[in-house]
Amino acid sequence: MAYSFTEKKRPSARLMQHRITAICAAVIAGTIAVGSLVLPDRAFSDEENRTLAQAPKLSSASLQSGTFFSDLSSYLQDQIMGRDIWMRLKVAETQMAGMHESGDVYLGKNGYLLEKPAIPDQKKIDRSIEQIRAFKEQYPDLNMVMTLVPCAAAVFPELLPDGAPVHDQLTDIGYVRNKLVDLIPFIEMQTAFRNDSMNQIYYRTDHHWTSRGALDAFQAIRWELGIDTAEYFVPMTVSADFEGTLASRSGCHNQKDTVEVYRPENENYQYYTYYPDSQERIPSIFVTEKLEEKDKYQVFFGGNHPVLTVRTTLDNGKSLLIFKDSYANSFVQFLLPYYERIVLVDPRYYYEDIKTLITSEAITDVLFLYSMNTFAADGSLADVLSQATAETEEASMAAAETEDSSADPAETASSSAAETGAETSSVSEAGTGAETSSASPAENGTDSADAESGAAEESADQQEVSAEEAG
Amino acid sequence: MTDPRFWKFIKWLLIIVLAVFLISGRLSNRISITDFSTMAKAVTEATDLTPMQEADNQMLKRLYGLDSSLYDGVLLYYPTTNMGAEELLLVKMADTSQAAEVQAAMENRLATQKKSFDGYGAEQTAMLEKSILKVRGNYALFISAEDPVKVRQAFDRNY
Amino acid sequence: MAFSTISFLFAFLPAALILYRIVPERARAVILILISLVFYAWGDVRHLPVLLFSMVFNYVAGLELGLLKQKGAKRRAKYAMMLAVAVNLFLLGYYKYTGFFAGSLARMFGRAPSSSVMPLPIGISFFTFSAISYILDIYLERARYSRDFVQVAAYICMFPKLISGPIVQYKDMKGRFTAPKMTMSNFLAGTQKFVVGLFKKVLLADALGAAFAGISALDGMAAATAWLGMIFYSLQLFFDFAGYSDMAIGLAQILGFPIDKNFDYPYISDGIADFWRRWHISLGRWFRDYVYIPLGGNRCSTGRQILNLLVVWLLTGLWHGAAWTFVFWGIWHGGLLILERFALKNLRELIPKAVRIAVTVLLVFIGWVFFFSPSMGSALLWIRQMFGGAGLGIWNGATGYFLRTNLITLIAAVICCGPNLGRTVTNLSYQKGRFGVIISVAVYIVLFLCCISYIVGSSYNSFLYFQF
Repeated sequence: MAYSFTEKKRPSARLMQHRITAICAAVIAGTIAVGSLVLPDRAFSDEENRTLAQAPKLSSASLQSGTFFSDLSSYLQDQIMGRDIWMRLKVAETQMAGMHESGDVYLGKNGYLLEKPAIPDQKKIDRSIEQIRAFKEQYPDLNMVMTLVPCAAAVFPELLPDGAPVHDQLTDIGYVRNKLVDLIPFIEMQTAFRNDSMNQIYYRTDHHWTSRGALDAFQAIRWELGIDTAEYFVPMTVSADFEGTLASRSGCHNQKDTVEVYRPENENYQYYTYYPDSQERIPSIFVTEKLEEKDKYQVFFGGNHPVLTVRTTLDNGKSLLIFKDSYANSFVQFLLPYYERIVLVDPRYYYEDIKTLITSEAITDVLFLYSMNTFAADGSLADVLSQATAETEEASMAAAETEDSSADPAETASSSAAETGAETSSVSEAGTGAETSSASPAENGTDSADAESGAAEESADQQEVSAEEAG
Repeated sequence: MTDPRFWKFIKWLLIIVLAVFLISGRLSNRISITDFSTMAKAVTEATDLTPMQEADNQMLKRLYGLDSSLYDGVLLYYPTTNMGAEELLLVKMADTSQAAEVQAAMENRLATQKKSFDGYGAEQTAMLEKSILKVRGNYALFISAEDPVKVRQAFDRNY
Repeated sequence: MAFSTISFLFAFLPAALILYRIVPERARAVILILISLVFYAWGDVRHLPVLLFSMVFNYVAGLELGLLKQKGAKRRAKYAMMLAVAVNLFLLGYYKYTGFFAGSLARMFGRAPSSSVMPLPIGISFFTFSAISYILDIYLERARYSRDFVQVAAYICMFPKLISGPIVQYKDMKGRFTAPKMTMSNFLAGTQKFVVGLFKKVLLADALGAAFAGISALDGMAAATAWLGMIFYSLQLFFDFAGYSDMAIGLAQILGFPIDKNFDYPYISDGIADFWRRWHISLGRWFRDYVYIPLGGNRCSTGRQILNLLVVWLLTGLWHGAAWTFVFWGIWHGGLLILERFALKNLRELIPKAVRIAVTVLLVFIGWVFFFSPSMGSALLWIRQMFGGAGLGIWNGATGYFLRTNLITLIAAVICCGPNLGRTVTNLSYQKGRFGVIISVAVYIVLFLCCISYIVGSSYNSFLYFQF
């Protein structure tokens, strides 16, 4: 009896289970489908920090090439109902399942999110090294200093989930150092950071260093920059609810960071920052409006710019050029008491001529300040530097030409500087710079002659003409 | 209709259609072995270069966001003045997988240019409207000029 | 378009089902063709002509062949069959194998292979095999040809099985497209299968795939890491493919076309032959019905049987991909099968079943190393690392990391490899009255929500323009 009872009951229970499951699944899917359709489209996602795809336009061309369907897919994806909630749910689930990774970000200890160190592009690194060397050889009188900042996972591996495999970035930095250190002082940061590990060197939710980390770096590097009187800098908290890029990337939103800025105790100077893109002069390096926005690291200079100039009321003839990525943005606050001018060049967005800049800003010191992750993957520093060295090669050719017609090389250099629109005052001020550019090409010409491109050759022709005209 | 010979005829017709489809697909998208310098010469000779100037790597990056070291060959002429719309970009890709990014870069640039001339440069806007953007196999061409068709023809002849 | 995407789940599928439901039964096959074409175009619009050609060509070739058969013109029928099969194979070969053979030839003559890679039309391996099944079923008189284009076209292009199988045979589908019925019981059972397939694909396969990707990105692996990687991949492949098949079968059932299962717990097989009765069943059946049996099958001399098996397995390997690693993988399975059938026949009986299963699984897993490696060299390197070839010892920190962070997924996956879980679930859900039903529904819903969150989450990418 009992047996036949279960036999009878089984199919009906199965049917009931199937029916409820199917109805629930259909209701959920239907609600999401209709909800996504009805709810207004969002233009921007704060959590992901990006604009979201909008409805694609149907045309026969987009239909044929398939872009319509791929655009449609990204539109549906981006505008799905409750996108951020689903994402939070997913992160919670992966953590519950014991995983320590989300969106290629390690969910480390003490609430730290850690990006994975970049696997370097060997070709790009070697090219950058080569160009930095050529640059130093071309401007031997400029005091050059370099540092590459390792990422948090490389300096504090104990913050990683146990055993998490990471690429050894310190070795990469050591490689660059060994290739450059005979020419340019190269400072490694890990010891300084580790010695100060009771303080927070990196943000928990962002891939940047904190202002404290930048201060440590400054202390480690200042001797090489010729700064021997240390100011006392006072920290000031400007935001306590910073959620950085790593929070966006991983979808982990359960931590907030504190952003600090530093001011010297005795600020016996004034300064302004010149933003060439907007042609504004602002008497601060901080853009406090950015503290209202999502990416609060942009409080330093309001983010990245192709070029920025800071001028102070100091009168010590020191002018610093920084080739940098965004790590340097929070580093400049410690340099203000020591320089008359600080020029920040971000090669990724910079298309002007470095040579002219060096002359017109009377540069005396150069700092290469990059995070290793940028340096490992970016070729634009080499591009910008190669432009400078390649043009010298032209200048040297031009010089050779004019030498034939027995002209004074120094004259050629100053005339070409004037031609490129440098202020004459700065040329005379620049002394060392101008001399360098006329003197070094003769030695340097053969050295970099085989290195460079067609573009250089053809503008060399132009240069030749103008040099003849000048002669 | 019940005669198998009728269907046999249709079948062969279909095979011919397939052959034509595949062969035309091959011909139009095969990898060109044309030397970059040959192609560059042909393309530049087909148009008047006086309103343009040749760009270097930096300029390429600035206008198109492309890195010339990733490609087998890149040639860019851009307007000599801000008021010009003449432009020529020829790219030989190292790998056809780069086609999408090159095409996107060209489309971006075209859109930017259209935007900057929209409403104030009627001539330039017209020129941009008839500009030609073509990706074929391992080559990509963007030409905005008085007579872009001539350049495209030179491109196709030498492909 | 994959089934486990937002576009499919929340846009295409609801729209397609509603459309399919509201039209009269007679018009459903036509609607099925139309939505299948949209489905194909959504994923790969450029190759839509290839699919259309396959549909039209095989309809025409089938008609000619069928009429010839009717007339009793045996020789002409044979030629027509051979030509039709050849055209189908040519199409497959043209897209899938041109690069492989040209490259191998070039290398043989010491030249560098050209870098041109032709994009493969999505699902061509699957719909071509469906089409060949139609032609051969007519020729082998397992089914009659169809005068109705819709019947043939719907069979070739119906979207549930279009891009990833199962490879259903025409003789099993004939006549089913005339007036497909959507019944409540099919809808319910189909939805159940689809949801279960979604779990396998999204919750198990994708997580295992991420773990495998992490391991294969390592510079060097300790021995245990390499083993772990192999296990992750083997499980990923199974749940990915089986999950996808489940979803396809579920969808087909919702539309009114029940299809046989494609996987039957392959990782508890006790021999290679047993494995192939359980793994990708529809492919094995296809090769058996259209290659092995026409070649003579088991009813010929031992030598001929071995040759036939080798041919079948060489082709099976090649079908999976155009590379030497796949050829080797096919031969590996073929060779093991031959050994098992002819040399170890009596020995097998002496070994306890648990050991047989363990050995089979080990051999199959090693086969997958060749399957996932991009080249023979890297496959051998992987195997060398499984025995400490990287010089990192048996176990290191990375091993612990990958094992620890994926332990729950791994345990869940291993449990799902056997039938016990399914049996337990059935017992608990259906024999404990209402309570069991409620619990099991709740579990399903929670898992379904997890799936959605994973699917949405996988499309999550923050814009990092200002990153550095």
